Amino acid sequence: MAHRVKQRGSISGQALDPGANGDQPAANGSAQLADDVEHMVEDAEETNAGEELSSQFSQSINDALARRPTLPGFADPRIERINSIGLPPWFVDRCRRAYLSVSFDPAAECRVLGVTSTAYGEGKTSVAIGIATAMAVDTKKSTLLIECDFASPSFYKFFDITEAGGLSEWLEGGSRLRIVRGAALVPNIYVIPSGIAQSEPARFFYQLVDRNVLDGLRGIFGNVVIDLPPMLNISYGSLACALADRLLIVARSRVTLTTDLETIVTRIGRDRVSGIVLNGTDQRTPSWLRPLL
Amino acid sequence: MTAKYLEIMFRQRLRFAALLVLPVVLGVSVVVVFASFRATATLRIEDPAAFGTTFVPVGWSPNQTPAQNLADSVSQVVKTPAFAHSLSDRLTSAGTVSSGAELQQTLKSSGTSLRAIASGSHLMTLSYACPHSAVCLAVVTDTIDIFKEQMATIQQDQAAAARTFWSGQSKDAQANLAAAQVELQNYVAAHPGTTTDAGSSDPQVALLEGNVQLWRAKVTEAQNSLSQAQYLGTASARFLQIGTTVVDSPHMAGSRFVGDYSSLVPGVLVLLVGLAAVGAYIYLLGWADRTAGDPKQLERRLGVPVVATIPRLVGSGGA
Repeated sequence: MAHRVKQRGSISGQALDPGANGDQPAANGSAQLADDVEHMVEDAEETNAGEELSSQFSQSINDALARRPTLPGFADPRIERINSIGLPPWFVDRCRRAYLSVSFDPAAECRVLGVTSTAYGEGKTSVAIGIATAMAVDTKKSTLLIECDFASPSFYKFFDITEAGGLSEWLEGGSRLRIVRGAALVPNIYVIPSGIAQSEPARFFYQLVDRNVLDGLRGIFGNVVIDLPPMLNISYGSLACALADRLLIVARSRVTLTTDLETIVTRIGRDRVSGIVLNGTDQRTPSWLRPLL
Repeated sequence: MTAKYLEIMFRQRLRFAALLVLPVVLGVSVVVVFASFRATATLRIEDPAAFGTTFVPVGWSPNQTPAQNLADSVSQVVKTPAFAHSLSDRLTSAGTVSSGAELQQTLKSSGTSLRAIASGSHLMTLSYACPHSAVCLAVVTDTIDIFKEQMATIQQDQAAAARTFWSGQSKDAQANLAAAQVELQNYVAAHPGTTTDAGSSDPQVALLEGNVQLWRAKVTEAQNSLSQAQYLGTASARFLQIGTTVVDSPHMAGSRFVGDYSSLVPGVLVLLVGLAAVGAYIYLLGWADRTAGDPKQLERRLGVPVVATIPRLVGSGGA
């Protein structure tokens, strides 16, 4: 199977096994990945552009997950890494509570969780990063954090990486899929930034859904966390939400309007929303005063 | 519910602090700007009986205490145009008032705000309230001086009027007496042998003699009244000059900044209205607050569980 995939793209069985690089392997390992990617590639064969896309996709993942011999104590300069995830432990722990409250399908090998909000500035991306970190640390599985906010990307700010090069460029066929590996403390986290800001983000979601890109990732990664765009003022919300199995909505306490939350919960579907993460819940009322109320 | 409003208040504490400062500043401003200063002085009036058991100053009621009589006198004097004129001259020459408008306002208010109250049988308190302490003090000081001057003049005028009256009465009585005497002498001359002594049996003589006696009595009465009037006029003026002493010299009552505290009431009212407005604003904010804050309320309304609450990440702009 791996050989077949290699012929069509550039994926090798050895390179696809995250465990070979020191990380814990995904549940199905390279075989599953090969099947999924093969499926993707078969779908993509319908067009020349699709073939090229699949090839780049597979190669990108191979490059990201590949084990390369390096001198002990030295990082591989060929692998792009994020320096650190600057979230405090307590924040990650609160995010842990959020993802542990989500009921995933027990039979699913890969858990795909989307994080969205009503509007910008509500802490959506921070929570997505926190959840991905917690999942990676807890499950020891390869965890992919995808930025799907094509209109207003911000991963490059969080991870101090360059903005150019990301999912949108890859979907347009302009470059290979850029996958940034996690920092030393969380080596099993992988980040796909969305790339430079796009004025028409809907088409990227269409391509993501149409080409079953997420299906291709399910066999490789144990957890996928998608940083979705805010849902209130976009028309492609259904496309965006279709990427994830379960959804969490991030709301900022005393800022997000309840009516806006009602709107997007209704729009997404109450059964698909696993919960709300209420962000910025600090109480300003002095602690000595609260017991008196 | 209270917790919600408190939380709103503490979340916007700077705005509320500013809003709370506003009514306080307004209240203090009202107290200071509309402060009313009050100058008072206490005068003691001696008992007229000390100057003679039957001595009653002109215009005084024997049924009132000396202080009440003095207060009445002062109250009447301050309402006269002469008093206003004298007060105007004094305030202008001393430079106490800064403008003609202030002078007019002072003169206008002196008729109503200048009060003389008997605070004892022999003590009278004179007080005056106005927006400027220096003017208040000057008005009270000048009022005492003007009162003494004018009362002396009034007493002298009254005495002069009485003298004129009784002089006329005396002259009339003397003329009538002379006429009665002439008529009696003519009758005696016309009727020789008629005597004018008390034992005269002539009824005409008795009648004429009675007229003479009557007019003689009238002359005496008029002269006595004239003497009495002259005495009362000078005595009353002197009495008011000597018998009235300033016990407490004119001074400012109350605080230097807020005067007699009469502006405290409107100031407190402004403060209360301002605080009520701030309270109403808090209530309005709470009422209009449709943001997600209470997890339980959110769960009830959306039918979706709140799976985690995360305190604010310091330094995060939120994305």
